Amino acid sequence: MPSNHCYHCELPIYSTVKWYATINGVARPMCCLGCKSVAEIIAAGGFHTYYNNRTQATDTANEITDQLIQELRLYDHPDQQHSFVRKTNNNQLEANLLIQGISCAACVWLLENHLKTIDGIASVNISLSSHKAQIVWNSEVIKLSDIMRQVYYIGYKCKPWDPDQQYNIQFHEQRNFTKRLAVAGIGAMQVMMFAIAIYAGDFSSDLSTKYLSIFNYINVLFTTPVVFYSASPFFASAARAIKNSTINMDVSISLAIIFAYSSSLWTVLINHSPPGVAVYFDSICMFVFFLLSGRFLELKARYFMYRSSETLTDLLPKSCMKWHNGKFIQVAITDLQPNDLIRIAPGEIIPADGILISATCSVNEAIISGESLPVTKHTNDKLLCASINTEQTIQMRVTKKSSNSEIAKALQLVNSAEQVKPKIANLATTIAKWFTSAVLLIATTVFLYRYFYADNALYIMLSVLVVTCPCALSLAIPVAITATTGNLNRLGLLITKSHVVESLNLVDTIVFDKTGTLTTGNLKLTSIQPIANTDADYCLKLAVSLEECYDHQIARAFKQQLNNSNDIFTVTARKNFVGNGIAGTINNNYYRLGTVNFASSNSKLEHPTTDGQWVLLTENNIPICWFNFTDSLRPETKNVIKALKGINKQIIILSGDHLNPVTKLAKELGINNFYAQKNPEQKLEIVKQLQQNKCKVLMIGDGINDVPVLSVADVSLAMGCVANLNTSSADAILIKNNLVAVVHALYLAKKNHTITFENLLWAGCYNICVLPLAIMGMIAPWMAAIGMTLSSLLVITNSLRLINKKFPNLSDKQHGKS
Amino acid sequence: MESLDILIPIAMIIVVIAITILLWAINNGQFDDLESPSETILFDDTKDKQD
Repeated sequence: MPSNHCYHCELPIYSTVKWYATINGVARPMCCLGCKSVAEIIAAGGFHTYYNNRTQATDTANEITDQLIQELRLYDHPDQQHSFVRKTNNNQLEANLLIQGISCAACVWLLENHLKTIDGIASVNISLSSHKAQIVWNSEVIKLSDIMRQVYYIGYKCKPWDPDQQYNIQFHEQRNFTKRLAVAGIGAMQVMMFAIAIYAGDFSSDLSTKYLSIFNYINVLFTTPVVFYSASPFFASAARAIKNSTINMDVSISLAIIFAYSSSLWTVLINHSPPGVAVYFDSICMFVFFLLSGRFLELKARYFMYRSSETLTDLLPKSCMKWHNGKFIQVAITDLQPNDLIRIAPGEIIPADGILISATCSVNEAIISGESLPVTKHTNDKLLCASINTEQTIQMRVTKKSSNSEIAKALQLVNSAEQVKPKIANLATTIAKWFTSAVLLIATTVFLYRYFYADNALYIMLSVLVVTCPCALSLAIPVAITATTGNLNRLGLLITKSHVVESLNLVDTIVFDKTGTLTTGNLKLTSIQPIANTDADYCLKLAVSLEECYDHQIARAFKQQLNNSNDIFTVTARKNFVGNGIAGTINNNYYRLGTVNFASSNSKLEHPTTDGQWVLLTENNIPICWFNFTDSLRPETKNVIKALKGINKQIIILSGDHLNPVTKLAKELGINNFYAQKNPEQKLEIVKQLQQNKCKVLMIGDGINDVPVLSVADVSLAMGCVANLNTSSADAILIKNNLVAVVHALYLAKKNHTITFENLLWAGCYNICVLPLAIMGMIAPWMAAIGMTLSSLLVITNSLRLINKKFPNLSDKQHGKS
Repeated sequence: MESLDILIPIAMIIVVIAITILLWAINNGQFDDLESPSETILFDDTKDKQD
């Protein structure tokens, strides 16, 4: 278990600490050179208090590669700049950038202060809520690419501010709402002031008719904008509902406002304000103000949820190399067209769907399939947008550009799934519809009765209309689910089907896949078996030297063993046989390292055991050493299993792997129910059996070979990134690959259920108690207004408790983030 | 009570000015980010201290 954590990004350090950075006089451990350079820059700028002030850890620092610097230079061209840069009045330039990696207010402070110290920068303004940076600078002193590079130097990423349609709509909606709220608030305060004067005058009976009239005219003046501007969203929504021949709660709200306003207006203008006749201007204003604040909170919750799922779209690089007129030039990926020929270097992300033109290569499609081991692609095979090219430079012919690619289509699927209303919310809206109709009927009856047989007909009817508004039902359940979904998004669980939050609450059995789910899918060197008296360390050094410049799974597993990077052999005549192994010459000996058949011409050799992956090192065709690689557990797995057992969930491992490794893993985790060597059909049977025994099953897998099982389980979760949807029909995706999100999700689902129940209970009781009182005339319209809007606010605020909730003993900081 | 003949119009004019300024502030983005100013005022400006 790691006892050291990187001071900068707070991820655990598994081997001995190799790098330190001195911050404020103390040497702090660092996990990599990236974090170390960033920490030193922060310390050198005198910003070390950033580490004390921040409330959340930052991401691990990125490497500033030459490719990155080249890409940033693209943004110095005026035609690339026109969408996010403009000239200011003093001949300076102003750019809007999106900064990624901001986690709390201290990050904003650090960025603003660091950037301000650079020559040529006039001003820097960064918003915590939208992550937008507005930078004004003198273009003769410094270039935009240099500014962007500075952002990367202190550990953040940035790109041009390019919000999509939905974001713009939401942004303006929020602004307009704030304006409406402000007008309603000020109107309410002014009207209340004059209304109290009138009530006081009523009480002491010495208010002259002249002043009564004046006060009422002023009330009309202030209430009119409130009714026609601030309350217009309600009227619009009511009109839409009536056009669709349905009734929603905005209909009753609108009716209440219209009746109250017109009757009061008539009293003042036509009837010349006879004393003792009630006018309702103050009620209307307060009513609108409270209702708007409730809607505003709901809007912010929706906005927050949208923003927290925004980061899915920046998986792709900004530019790539395209063949044009006889050479490769750098172009933006948005300019790619089908049939373009592009070149992709090892380690780079493939920017479009296409066909491989060059020779056999290896790509990592984890982002699409969840399969973390690389896939070999032969010439004319399909390559997917957003997969990573692992081993060598390749050339590809584009078939679909990024906006039309498979992954883009999958993203659209996610967005549309988010619009579908969950079943319970629909139930609530139906209840609201019937309830509103009933209330209108009652209100009309009461009005007619009191008009002919009693008094105060209008007054009572208004109370009834306003007080029984079923806001709690229609508002609060969606807000609870929105808040839960937004919270889950932040924790790394992306929900694609609407029933997930309610269904998770019913789950009692959790079935895990093994490889890639409980384990990382990354190989670790677990055993070195030298053949016939060769020294193990010597063999390891040979292997590491041979693998030194490669980046695939096995190479990385070897390189983890390096303690002192200078002490390796020089290798000449390196050759890479993709999918089989590597070869090279050290000290005049010819070595091969790879599969048995590749490394040695002796086909009778066998692996020492059937566990894991065996690799053979041969010297001049003589086998000298076996290396064994196995998959390692994810760092958080043990704690997650413990937590899940703690909340009484039955845990089962369902794996296609051999019996030995599965048994070993199950014992290590303390799980008694496990199945090994099951193919997809058998897995399906097992889950169906569980369901027949009345279990509600949550299935967690990595998508690629679990498609049938995932579609059968009550709730299914796929590891890995976004586009698993297309291939795996999972209900939700764990985009951060961190199992801790599962524990949080189950906890949140339970809380959501509790809070929804509380909301419904409150709404029901409130309406039942208050309606008789309203009918009997014991509630003035203003009491009704306060009561109803406060109850809605209460319900919404109760739902907002779901936004920051987490399972108490587990934090995803402790157990690493990917 | 005659003072009200002056005071009420003055009050109304002030309210109109206040609403105008408020609407300008919203359009200028003053109300877009309400969370970070509450925290950043607590941070020390170490750069100034060193100079």
